[in-house]
Order: sequence, then C-alpha cells, then structure tokens
Amino acid sequence: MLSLAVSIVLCQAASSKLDDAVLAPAWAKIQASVVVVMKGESRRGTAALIDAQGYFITGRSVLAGNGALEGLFADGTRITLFPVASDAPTQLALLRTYDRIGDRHAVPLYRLPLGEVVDATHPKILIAALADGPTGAQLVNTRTLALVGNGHEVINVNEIHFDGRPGRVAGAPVFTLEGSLVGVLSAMLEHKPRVGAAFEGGAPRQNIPRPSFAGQPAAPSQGDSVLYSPGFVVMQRVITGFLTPEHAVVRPAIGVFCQDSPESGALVDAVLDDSPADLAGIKEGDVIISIDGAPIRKAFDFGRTMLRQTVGSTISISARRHGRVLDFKVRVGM
Amino acid sequence: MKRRDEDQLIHLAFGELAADEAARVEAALTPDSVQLLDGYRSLKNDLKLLNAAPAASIGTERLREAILRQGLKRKAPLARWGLVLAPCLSALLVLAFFSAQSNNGSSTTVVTESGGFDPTMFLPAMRQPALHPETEITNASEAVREDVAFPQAESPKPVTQAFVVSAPKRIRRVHLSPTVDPRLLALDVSHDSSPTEQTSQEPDPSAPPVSATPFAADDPSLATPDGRDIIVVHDAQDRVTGAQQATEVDPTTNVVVGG
Repeated sequence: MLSLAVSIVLCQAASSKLDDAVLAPAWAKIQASVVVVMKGESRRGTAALIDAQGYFITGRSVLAGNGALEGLFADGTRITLFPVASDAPTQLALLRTYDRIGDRHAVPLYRLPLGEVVDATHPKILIAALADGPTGAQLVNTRTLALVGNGHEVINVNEIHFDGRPGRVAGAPVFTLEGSLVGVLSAMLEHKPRVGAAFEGGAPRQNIPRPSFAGQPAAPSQGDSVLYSPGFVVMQRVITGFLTPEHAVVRPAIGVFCQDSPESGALVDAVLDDSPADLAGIKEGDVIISIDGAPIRKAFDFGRTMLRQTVGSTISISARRHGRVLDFKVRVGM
Repeated sequence: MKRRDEDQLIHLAFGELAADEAARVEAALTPDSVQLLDGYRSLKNDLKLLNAAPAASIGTERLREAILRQGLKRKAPLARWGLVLAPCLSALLVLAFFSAQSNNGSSTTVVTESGGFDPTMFLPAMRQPALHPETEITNASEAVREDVAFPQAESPKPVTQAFVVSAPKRIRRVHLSPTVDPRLLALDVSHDSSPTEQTSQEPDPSAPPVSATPFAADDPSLATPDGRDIIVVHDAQDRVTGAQQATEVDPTTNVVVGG
C-alpha cells in the first residue's frame, strides 16, 4: 500500500514536472537505478545505485541515524537499505541493500569531456532525482572551488541551477540526460553579499540563459537556486573509497595550513607535528611558491594543487625562507 | 510439521530458494506454516536491524571531538629543556653563522628528503578504531571484505597515515575588508581567538600508503587557476532543502587553506 502511494506520488510528480520531451526519456533511463529513501512514512531523499552489489550513494542528510531505511523504486519494488559509511567533507553517504535488485544497472559517473566548456551561456541540462519527483536543472560551472570541512580542504564542485526554490534537495543525485551521475547535491548558495570588497551587490543570480524545452520559449527566471555537488575528481575519489572493503575515503595532504602571503605565494601558517611537511623540513613562516614546478600564488592555489595529488607520491615543493628559496621533497600522506 | 518442511520455510524466509522452488513452497503453505514463515521473516528483519546497529552508539566524529577536547596539544619540548638547550643552540648559531660566511655567497638551495617516512610517526599517542575519521563507517558488518566492482576502483590497503590537525600557535593578523561574514571567522585568520577545530586520522602502521586518485591529475577542471568562483561551505544546513549553506568568497579574501 505504501509503495503504491509513493509510486503514485512519484508518477504524479514526474508527470507534472516532466511533461517535456527532453527530460522524460532521460528519466526513463535512470529511474530503475534510483530509489526514494524512506523512513516510515517520511520520504527522506533519494539515492542512486553505484554498484551492482547493492550499493547506493546519497547525502548524509538522507540518513536517519544509523537505523535501516526503506528504498522504493519507481516500479514499486521495495528494498531495505542500511547505512554503511559517510564522508563528512563532501556530505556523501553510502547505503547498501542485501535484497535482490534484479538486473538494475549501476549508473556511471559523468566526466566532462576534454575541451568541452560548461558555463552560464552554455549550460548542460541535467535531471535531478528529488524526493518529490525528478526535475530539470542546469549545470553551469564545473570550475568552482569550495572550502569544506574541519581540515579546510579545497575541493572542486559543480554549480547547478534550479528554477525557483526547490524542496528537499540535499542528497539528491543529479544526472545527465544520457543517464550518467554528475553528483549529489550537498550545498546551497546563500544569496548574500560576498565577503570582500570586490563584490558588494549581493543580488541573487537571475535571468540565467536557459534553452527552451520541447520548443517552448524559456520563461524568464524568477531567481534561481544555486546548488553544489562535489566535482568529478572528488566524486570519483569518494566512490572509489566507498567501494573498497574498508569503505574509507583517502585524501592527499602534507599537513600544513596556509594563507595568502602578502607577496605572492602560500604562507605556511602551521605545520602539523610529524606530518609529511614536518618530516621534510617545511616550517611555519615558509612561503610555498611552487609545487612540482607549478606556481603557487595564493593559498587556494596550494589547496587546488593538493587536490590533484596522489597519496603516496612524492612532490617537489619550493618555498621562500628568509629570502632564500628552498626545495623540499615531500611524500604525500592523507 | 516435518523438519524438512521447516527447513524449506527458513530458506524461503531468508530468500535462499530459487524462484520456482520458492513458488512451490509458497503454494503448499498451510495456515500454521504461514504463521511460522512470518515468524522467520520477522527474525530475518530483526537480524538486519541488529546488523545495522553501530558497534558503539558513539560516532567516530563525536569520539574524535571528545578526544580532541581533552587537549591534544602541540608539543613544546623547548619549554622544559629551554634552559639547558639555549646555550647549546647559541653556540650552534654562532658556528652556523661563520660557516655560512665562509661559503661563496650564492643563494643556497637546500634539498631535503622526507625519505624513510614512517607512518607510525604521524600520531604516535593516538589510537582510534580502524576507521577513517572523515569516512564514518556506520555498519559494523561492512568491515567484512567483499568483492566489489566499480570502474577504476582500486582496492586500497587500510588507512596507513594520519596526522593531527592542530590549531596554529601563532595568530597572524590579516587585513580584511569591513564586510566580514561572521561565519567566515572560523576560517579567517584575522580574528583573535585561535581556531580550535581539529581532525585526526587513525594510523595503521602495518600497510603502505594508499594511492587515492591516480586519475585526478589530468582533470581539466583543475588545470587552470584563474577565473574561478570560490565558496565556503558551512556546517549549518538550510531547513527547507537540507543542504549545507554555502557563501561566495571574494578571491582576494584571505582564508586558511589546509592540505
């Protein structure tokens, strides 16, 4: 009965939002791999199948403690879902079912092809599997950097726009029209003035160009909601870690905190005891000016460069100390 | 009821019968056996719930916070030995000064190796459950090795290295524009109170480092540094959407970045 009711809700939502010739076929491709996550009568979010052995990815906000949840496919199939692991910086979570899921296929992870640019004038149409039904969205930026977590880690995120203010979106997987997983929605932009002098307006982003659906002219936006999902590199890192036997995500780090140097470079503000940086001889007050030959002009350059590293590899760091340039070989830890 | 029939019911309840066999057993159910079957199914569900219960009711993050609140402070070895070491260091500095003067005067490039890296040195005093701290394992049964298949997924060895993220000792003052989002103060270095957030990762000295992202380096979205939007994601969640709140940051704003 419950499944029937939810199926009806899903179908109604789908029919009301996907009366579009573009989005409906996309939903048909992915709906078999998406479950609505329920706790009792409450729909907590959605999750996408990422492994044929029954692993689903969603957001932490979808979890309800450590207890079991119920998953409901669009065809009415019900499964029991168990929380397995979660990742604090990205807010991603892993669920697993031990029930039979038939021949449903795991969704592939989307990677922006080399040379393809996505921006506000060339958005990519997406379909988001929200708890109250699938809906369209636009990927407008894959180059945004985000500072997350207690470790002040820099990650890359996708900027995804929705018309108006969507309902409960956190943890919702977002797909391309071809059915590849772009990410899981985790953060939402507050329309407040930026910190700093360069942007004082603080107006909500509006009138973002959008292609027309099914030949209908695009309606002017009344103000988009801007949401973020972890970018490809981070998604792949987390999913890869989740699907290891330990379900552990590892992140490259050398154990320093940096801020912008008054001159160019990343000023090392703290070196963690016994970290790779400490063992290599990097000290507080050093100014990192390059990593593996790539210039580091500010602290964010350092964070972005660390995001690209591999745990266990050795990197060359050049740093200024009292007017001299020192070179360090640092083995990347995590 | 025969023992064999009861075994069949158990297999049916636990989903261990082939479809045709399950259909045959279900067709032959009597009212008594239906009741028994419901009991077994209930048992299966209860077992699953037990399976989902955490090994301890305390989460990894709370455990970490509790440990860190008890004061994992940076070592201050010189405090105790300062009186003894100070004269020795002074002598060494004098020697080093004269040694430097005797060089040819060109800018020196020092190459230091962190070779001989010992993961057990990362966090010698801290041993936590063998979990990655930022990857909270919520199902104890998942510690069992399973064959997993995901494209490009390596099967890394257990977490090997960790270090305590402790607050910087020195507080630097960095000029900011007057319009400072107070929530950024936790990240910004212009405030007076020392940041207190700490994270830790459990060391496992028995295994080599794990290669995490062999595919990341050629991602075009990370290639160029210029023209990027920057946001800070806060812990606070939006009540309606459930999403964490994000704030745009001007690229000129000086915030602390870890790595």
